[in-house]
Amino acid sequence: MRTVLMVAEKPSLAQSLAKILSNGSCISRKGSNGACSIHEYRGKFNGENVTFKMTSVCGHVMGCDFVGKYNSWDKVDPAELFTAPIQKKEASPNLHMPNFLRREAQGADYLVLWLDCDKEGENICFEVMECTVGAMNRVQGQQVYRARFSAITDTDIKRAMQNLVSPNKNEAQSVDARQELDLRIGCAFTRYQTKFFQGKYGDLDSTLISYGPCQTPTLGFCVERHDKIQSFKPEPFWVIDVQITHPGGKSLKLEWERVRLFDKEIALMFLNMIKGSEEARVVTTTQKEKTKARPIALNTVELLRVASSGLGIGPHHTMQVAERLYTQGYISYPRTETTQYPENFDLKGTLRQQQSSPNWGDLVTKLLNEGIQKPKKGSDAGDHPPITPMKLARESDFDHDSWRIYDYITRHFIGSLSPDCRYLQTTVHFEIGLEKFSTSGNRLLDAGYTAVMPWQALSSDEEMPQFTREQTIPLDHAKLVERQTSPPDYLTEAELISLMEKNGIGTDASIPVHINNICERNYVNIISGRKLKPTPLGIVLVHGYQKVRIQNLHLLAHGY
Amino acid sequence: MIAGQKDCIKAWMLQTHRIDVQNDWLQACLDWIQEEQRESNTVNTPDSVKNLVFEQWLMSDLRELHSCCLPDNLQENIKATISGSFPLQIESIIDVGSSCYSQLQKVKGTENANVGVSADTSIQPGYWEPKPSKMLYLKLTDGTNDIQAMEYKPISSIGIDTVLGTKVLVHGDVICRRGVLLLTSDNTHVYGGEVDTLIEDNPPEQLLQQAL
Repeated sequence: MRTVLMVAEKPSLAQSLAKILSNGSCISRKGSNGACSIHEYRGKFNGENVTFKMTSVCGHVMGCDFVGKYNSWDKVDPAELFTAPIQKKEASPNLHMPNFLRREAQGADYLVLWLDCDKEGENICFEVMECTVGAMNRVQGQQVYRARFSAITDTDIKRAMQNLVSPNKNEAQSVDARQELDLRIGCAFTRYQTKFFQGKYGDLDSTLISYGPCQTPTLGFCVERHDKIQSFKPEPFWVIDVQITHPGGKSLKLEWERVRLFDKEIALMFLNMIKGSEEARVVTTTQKEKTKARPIALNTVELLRVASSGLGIGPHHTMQVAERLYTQGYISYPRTETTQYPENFDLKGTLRQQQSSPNWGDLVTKLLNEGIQKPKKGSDAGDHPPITPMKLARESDFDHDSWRIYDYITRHFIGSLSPDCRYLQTTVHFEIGLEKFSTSGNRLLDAGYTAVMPWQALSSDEEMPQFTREQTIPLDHAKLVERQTSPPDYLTEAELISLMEKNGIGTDASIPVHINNICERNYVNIISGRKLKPTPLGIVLVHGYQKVRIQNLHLLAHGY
Repeated sequence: MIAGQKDCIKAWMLQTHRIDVQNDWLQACLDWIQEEQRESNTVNTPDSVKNLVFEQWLMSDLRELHSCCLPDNLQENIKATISGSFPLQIESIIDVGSSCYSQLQKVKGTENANVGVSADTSIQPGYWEPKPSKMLYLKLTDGTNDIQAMEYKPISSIGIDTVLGTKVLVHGDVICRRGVLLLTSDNTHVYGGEVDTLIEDNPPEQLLQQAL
């Protein structure tokens, strides 16, 4: 009987996949390297009965590095690193991964690759093939297959098994190219600038001053904001504060159409004109129905932003949690740029899974009864569907952070299928003398999606009292208030994520890594509110680059 | 040049453009036009002479002309109204609806586009400041007296980049509060023109920098 060797990206995934594909009947044993297990079961492949062996690697099998003699910082000129030879080395030598794979490959006839479905995973596919194909039996026809899947669910995995394709060499090679570039540029600059700064500045920790083509522009954004704050000059301005009391008793503050003025004399002039009138005249009342639109489907960058600003969880940790949730089958693949579901996605079925939840079950039932909304149009990047909950979970299943992230993902999903939030905005326009003022209030008509995403709910205004045209109301007071302009704050993590996305720095997968790096390397500190404040080292580094006239750090990331 | 022509042109300037030119200046202007005509070997029709005079007025500095039309002591009254037609020259323009700092950034081109990025995509650019509303604040002169003015109602024909030395006609019944004329598009008409020295001496960057 033939044998089909199947390789996943992580031991936990191998276990989940084997359980699904074997319908729970697989037998497991430990592998020769002590870290990976093999799960065996019988089944059908290409019409014949075979033995399946599902195992895994632990991320990348190989990494690349310079040939030994180039590892000396003192003897090697960094410039040489651009042309120095590179070799592939085992990524984690203590795992003995290539040996382990070769051993399991012996006697196998077919190979099915279950690595994660992104470029890195594709690259690992070829690493696995390097270690296994040579030791396998010769067969006629296709020997190596690739499974494509987006969630660890019964349906998705079984479907992937029925629709195997071939691995994509181009994607894999693009990762090789990136690895080589990162190595050469990163090493060369890191060594150069560390040696340059060593010993020059007593109070600067210059043991290792690293450079990376994505990490450095990330730092650049933080320092740019810092510079803007430092160079800001506050200026005084004046607003006119007017208050009236409706005959019914409610006091209202009126907003001036001119908003604010930077010249005191002119502001005083207006104040006098207004005081001279002594009363406000109602010109008109307008009512407009407004909507707050339901969110588009969730992708990685948005998840990172909300986790940082709403849940106070940093992007690196968020991704770790999301990975775990994915491996255990609770959510779909968390690294995706797509914000639009494919036509054939079973939204209702996915939603129905949440019906018995104590947290939002009744909202879900109501939604299913009334009919779900088609999710708002987003963009399809062709990688994976938006991040979606794949099975029901209870709070007791998780630790605190994992629950909060699962909770957010699910609420966002339900929200994206809910109706928009509708409210009525009433605006009353006044004239005092010839100056225009207004005041407005909101009344909720239909909470819509904000019922399941309560942090987005409209703050409830009190009812706006009734005014009639030409009605005049005496002014309670009209006074001039002086304020000052203030600088922007330090970049929040969420803002930095947006900036990186806008400028194409890093991918949805690597953005958390870069942000984490600049923190770990002491280039920025995280202060309250998850804001990033550059350290003196970080500031000096970016200013140094600017002096060398690298005006746009983000161009470096594009390889210029 | 016939004596009658000078009177004719003076009357025309007053009637068509509401500008009262002084005889000395007009004579010097006509002499210059005649000189140019001789050198370039062209002949000017009476109409083209009138237009040349008007153009010269647009390019001149009213201070040098010592022209005068505004009543004195406007600065002292809390509220006053002036009536008539007043040709004035713009000496400086600033926008008091937005901070000098942000205007300076715009002029220097150092406005940081990344400042416009916010994690909440529903917030507008420059989110930490309210949306600016333009209000121009002008210093004007009639050649002798200085006066301030502001854009009480939006005037589309004057902007923050209107060249200094531009001549405007303020006409009708114009309210003046605390020495500031309240201008609207109804009571303000832009002639055009400029004054070289004013432009050179007062680049926008410098004006904003001084205000800070």
